[in-house]
Amino acid sequence: MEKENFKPQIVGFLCNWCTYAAADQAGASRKEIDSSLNVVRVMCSSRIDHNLLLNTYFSGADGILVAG
Amino acid sequence: MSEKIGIYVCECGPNIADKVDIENIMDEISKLEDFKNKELVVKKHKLLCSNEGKEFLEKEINENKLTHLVCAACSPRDHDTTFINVCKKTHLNPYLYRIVNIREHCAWIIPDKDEATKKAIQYIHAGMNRVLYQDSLFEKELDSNPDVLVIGGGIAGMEAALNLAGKQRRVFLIDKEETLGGKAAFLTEQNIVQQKISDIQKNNNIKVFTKTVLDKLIGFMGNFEIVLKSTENPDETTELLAGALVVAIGYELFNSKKLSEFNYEDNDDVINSLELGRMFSENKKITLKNGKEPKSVTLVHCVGREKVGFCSKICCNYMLRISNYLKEQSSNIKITHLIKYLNLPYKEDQNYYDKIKEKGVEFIRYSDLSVKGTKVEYTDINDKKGKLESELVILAPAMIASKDSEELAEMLNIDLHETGYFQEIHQKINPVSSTTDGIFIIGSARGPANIVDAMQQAKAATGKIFTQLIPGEKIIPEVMVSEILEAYCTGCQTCLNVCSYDAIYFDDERGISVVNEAVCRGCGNCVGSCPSGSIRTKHFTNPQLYQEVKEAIR
Amino acid sequence: MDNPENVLIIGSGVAGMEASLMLSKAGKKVYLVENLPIIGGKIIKNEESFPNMDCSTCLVAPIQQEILQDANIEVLTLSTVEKVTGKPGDFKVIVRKKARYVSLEACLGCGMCYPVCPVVLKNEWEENLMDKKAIYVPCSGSLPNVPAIDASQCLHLNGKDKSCNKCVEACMFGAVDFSQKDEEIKVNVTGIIVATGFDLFNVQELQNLGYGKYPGVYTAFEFERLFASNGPTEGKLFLRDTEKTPDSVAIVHCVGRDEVGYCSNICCMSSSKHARFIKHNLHDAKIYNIYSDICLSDKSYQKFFDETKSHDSEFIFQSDRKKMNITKKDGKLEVSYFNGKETKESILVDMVILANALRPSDTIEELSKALEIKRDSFGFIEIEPSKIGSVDTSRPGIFVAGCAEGPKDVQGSVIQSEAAVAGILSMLDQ
Repeated sequence: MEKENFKPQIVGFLCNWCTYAAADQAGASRKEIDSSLNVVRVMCSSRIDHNLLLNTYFSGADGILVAG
Repeated sequence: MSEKIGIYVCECGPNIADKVDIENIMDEISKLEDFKNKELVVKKHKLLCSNEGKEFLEKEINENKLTHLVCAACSPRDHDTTFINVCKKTHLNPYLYRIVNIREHCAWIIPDKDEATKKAIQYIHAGMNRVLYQDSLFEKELDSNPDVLVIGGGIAGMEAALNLAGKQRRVFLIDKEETLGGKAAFLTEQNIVQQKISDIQKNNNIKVFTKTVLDKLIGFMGNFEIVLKSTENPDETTELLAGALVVAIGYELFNSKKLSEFNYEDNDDVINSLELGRMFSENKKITLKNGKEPKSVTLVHCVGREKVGFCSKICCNYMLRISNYLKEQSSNIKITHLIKYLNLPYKEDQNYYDKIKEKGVEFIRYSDLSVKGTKVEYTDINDKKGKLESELVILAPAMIASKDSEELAEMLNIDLHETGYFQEIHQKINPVSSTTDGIFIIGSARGPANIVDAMQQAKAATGKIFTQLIPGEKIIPEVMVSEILEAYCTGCQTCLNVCSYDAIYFDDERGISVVNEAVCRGCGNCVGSCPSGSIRTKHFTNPQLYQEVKEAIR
Repeated sequence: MDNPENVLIIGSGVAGMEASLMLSKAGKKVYLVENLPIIGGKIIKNEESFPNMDCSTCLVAPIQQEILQDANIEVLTLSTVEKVTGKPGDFKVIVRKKARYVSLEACLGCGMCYPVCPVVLKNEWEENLMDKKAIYVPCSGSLPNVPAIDASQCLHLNGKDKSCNKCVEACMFGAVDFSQKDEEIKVNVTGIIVATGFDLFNVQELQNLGYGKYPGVYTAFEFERLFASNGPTEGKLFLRDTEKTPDSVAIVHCVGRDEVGYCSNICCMSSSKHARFIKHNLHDAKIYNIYSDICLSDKSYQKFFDETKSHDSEFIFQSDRKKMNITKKDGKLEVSYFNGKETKESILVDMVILANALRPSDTIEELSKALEIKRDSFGFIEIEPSKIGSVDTSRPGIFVAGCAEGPKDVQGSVIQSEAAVAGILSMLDQ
């Protein structure tokens, strides 16, 4: 893998009530966030199960952020 | 019916339009390979959330006979409800619509326009795939019973019963004792308690069951089935229906004899605050065992506080009032308070304390002490040792949870706090609601409370019940709930333990867990815990989320 | 409902918001009056709230959103209640609504208008720790996320430069509207809840504490903003006007307690919270809490306090609050006090946080006159003495909740607001 051109694909599962709201606020404050983060909203971060994590990796994600 | 997806890109004025290339987005979306066989309507609008935008959207849905709708706009936290309400005016089920956040999560955070455009396309593509996997969901209505069962006939329970009972709402008030009244029976409280008892007796909408406890409870808010039993004859049971429960079983005093330093060998002139209360309400004065008025009194605060791990909040004030009374009874009495921290949380307390200090009452801060007979030996906060010999010693033991709490919590399926008191669903913003919907906790059953606290909490629970269980109105439960697929459930019951709302029960006959849709809030805790993958949360199913993941990282 | 009963709620903090949502759910029409341009009350100034150190915004923002989206709740920001006549069940209320000069309907909150405004002002909501413009939102994350214009400072509106139209030009939605006028709104309501919260004791009254004289001395709410990720330093603990973090901090309890005449109930816990926050961010910082008594008014508070005491901060007892003195020494702040043995001791620190007492809000005197309700000797709204355990004021049909009645924590405020809702609904039932 070429190090310089490597652009990771990160899937972020964000809780509707806290981290998704925080990401909204980051947007409203015009913070620069790398486009490698792909946000998927869930109603609670505890809803994430191993199936979803594994499938996310199988789909090609380089990293997963579960935040809530 | 073939699918026809409407995709509407909001310019949000310059907010989105300036930061991404909307024409390019529309172009790319229209020629997506995997949507080649689907009918698409791709349009932009300058401001979808405006009245004009909403009318436009409504017209578009109707005229194009859309089967699915994607709005590429702002955060769902801002305008999900706005567009859901638009859908509700049309034939389109609101769960067949999806908002895609290309403002906060795209236009506003990615400075490079091309990159932001690419990202927006990715997110919209994901939304289009996801919306096809979404199902129509429909609201249900459930009948509800407005009646209330109040457990505990102390000041809190009586106040709740009196506030709740009305033409359209009956209240059942039970207490395990022979009479109502509870522990609030000292000084001014006595009149209030007597007044409440007589008001209850006069109220036709309150049915009182004394010497009665709860035997069994099933159901959920709006529809509880209750069995009561007599404390004298366990075979004597009563069945009731109610929509809500109020738990007001009060507190107990920490048993100071459990602590070796309170080795007062059952000395009759060492009494605790409740014993003193009882003495006062019977004799209308404070005396020694021999009937004489004491000349010197030591009041010991915070007895057992360290052991129980919390401050009982109301004892400092209570002890000050005893002091005040003793001073009124005989002005040259010598009074010493042994305190740890003086907790005066109510606005009137400080003046009261200052007044009592002016009357010559002494306050000593102790770090350690022991009581032998009526002799109190202490170490103060400067490590100086001292001794107090007085005729009467009054102890303020910590207020602890009633010993019935544990059993009752189990029966009601509500949580206990680590202190043993009932746990509120949210310590700050939902303080009189238990961890189960429709069950409320008030007074000293949820933590030390004085009479004003208890009565205000009773009114708070009344307010909650008035607004949640309106006579004649139906309950509309959450639609995005979890469901358990019978074929895959192994009956391991892991989900029962993780559910914060106690919305899952185990069906013994079928050997599977079942979700009570009236109680479930759709958080998905259970989904994450299920080892066999047999639970799904409607509108947030794995296949739906995969669609988002798949496109997001394409 | 064809003819819903109306309720007026004054103050949009936790108490006012809870009551509004409950009454709306019961089918009532609610007028929620707030004198600031935003709703949410004091709690939104806090980054985290005790005892669980949970994020306040996460707690309150969904509630604020729900209120703004609720069709039964009419939010009247920048508004005050001027007069109430009539009787329970039929109050006639006059509300004075100041012009925002920005349309709530047209504005999207994109924030393009502030950078272009030439007028720089102190942001009072941020405890003057940062600037704002004449067109402003108090902080990022404000709800409603629509700016307001300070008419006395705006060059166009105060007439100093009628040609200044910079914000109008910057707004792509035509939301800035200089033609807006203050309005007098008349509403008829069946009941009223007063939930106007508190303000804080002015620490400049205590000159011995050096506030205003030494930049290292802060009030508790200044510190709250310093600690807030949406605040002036984005949550970085920089000493005033520097980029230096403190090595040592003294948190002084009960500031102004003797002057106001009561314990403010929440400061022991908020001071413990501050200690935790500092320790969490600056592991090596030395933190002192100087207290005279400890007030822990909930079952869960002792544990929080004990943990703070054993992990984060030294707790020092002072025997006489009046004898505390803060001066400058060797580039640090010297805090001297009398200990339990009543001898003088002192500590040297970089930062002092004064946990100042809660007092009745600035607006309460006028409001209580407009509502014709009694106040107690401290100036808080009085609960009718003949109705012990209620939240009824001296005027039937008007209820009080939260810190308008006296200092209390969030829990206590919410309990009273729920009780006030019961009061209103019981009244309507009869």
